[in-house]
Amino acid sequence: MRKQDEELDDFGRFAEPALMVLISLAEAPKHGYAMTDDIERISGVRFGPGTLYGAITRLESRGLIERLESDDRRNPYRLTGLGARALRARLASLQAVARVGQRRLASA
Amino acid sequence: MTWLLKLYPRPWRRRYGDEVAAIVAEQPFSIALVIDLIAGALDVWLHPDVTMAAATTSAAGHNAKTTGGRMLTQVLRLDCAAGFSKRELWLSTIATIGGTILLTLAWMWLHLRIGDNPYTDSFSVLAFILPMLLGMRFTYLKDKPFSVYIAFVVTMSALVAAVLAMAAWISSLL
Repeated sequence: MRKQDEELDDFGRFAEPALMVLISLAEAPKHGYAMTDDIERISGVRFGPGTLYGAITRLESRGLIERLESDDRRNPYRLTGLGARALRARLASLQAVARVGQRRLASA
Repeated sequence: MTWLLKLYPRPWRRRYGDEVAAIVAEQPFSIALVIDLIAGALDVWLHPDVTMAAATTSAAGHNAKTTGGRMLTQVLRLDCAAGFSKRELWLSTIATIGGTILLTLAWMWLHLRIGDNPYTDSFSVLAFILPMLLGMRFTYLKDKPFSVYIAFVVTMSALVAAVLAMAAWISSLL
């Protein structure tokens, strides 16, 4: 069985946008435009719609996020339980790497 | 600029078209946006298994509701583009690699004759993209009418060539 912090490993160039989408949806369900704005606010990077939806379609096909029905033409997405677990595992893994990096920098 | 969404497969547009169009409509024209949308369309055509899974599921669900699943097999066959035979994959690979070798040789010959030129240099990318598009005849576009296949190859090649020509023009100004 796939380890949860490896869920995004085969996303290729969409791994970073996918991680940002998960982080954005961890706050609340959002539609694509709101996600783009939120990601720009937290990371300073504004993904184009082609890149954003490359990540969204992959996350949706893995069951990490799901689309909510809406009367608006812009359907919001929300994090699933599986997505929350995958995000938690990935952030913990990144945190561990950051701790090692900082420790090494401190002793350099 | 929402016309660029026509480059995406129809089932994908049915599922995500309105959402992406809403985002595109609120952004000013930029080359970066055009390139992002073209790259996104190529990604969807090249990786239908991960980019269209939800789109085909929803299309299948819709059909099952409206026509009792009569079209399910057709939707999965045409729109998911999965399940190529070994022979089709080989033909596509041969067309892509063979075409790339031939066009690269042609480009090298042109480069030797013309020398350094931003336009011929930038078009070297087409030596890979064009055979890859042609190779889709045996895979993702195998069930489409020949006219649709030709229109797709010509449109995508023209768009890529236009972007490359623009990049060459910009680099010639620097």
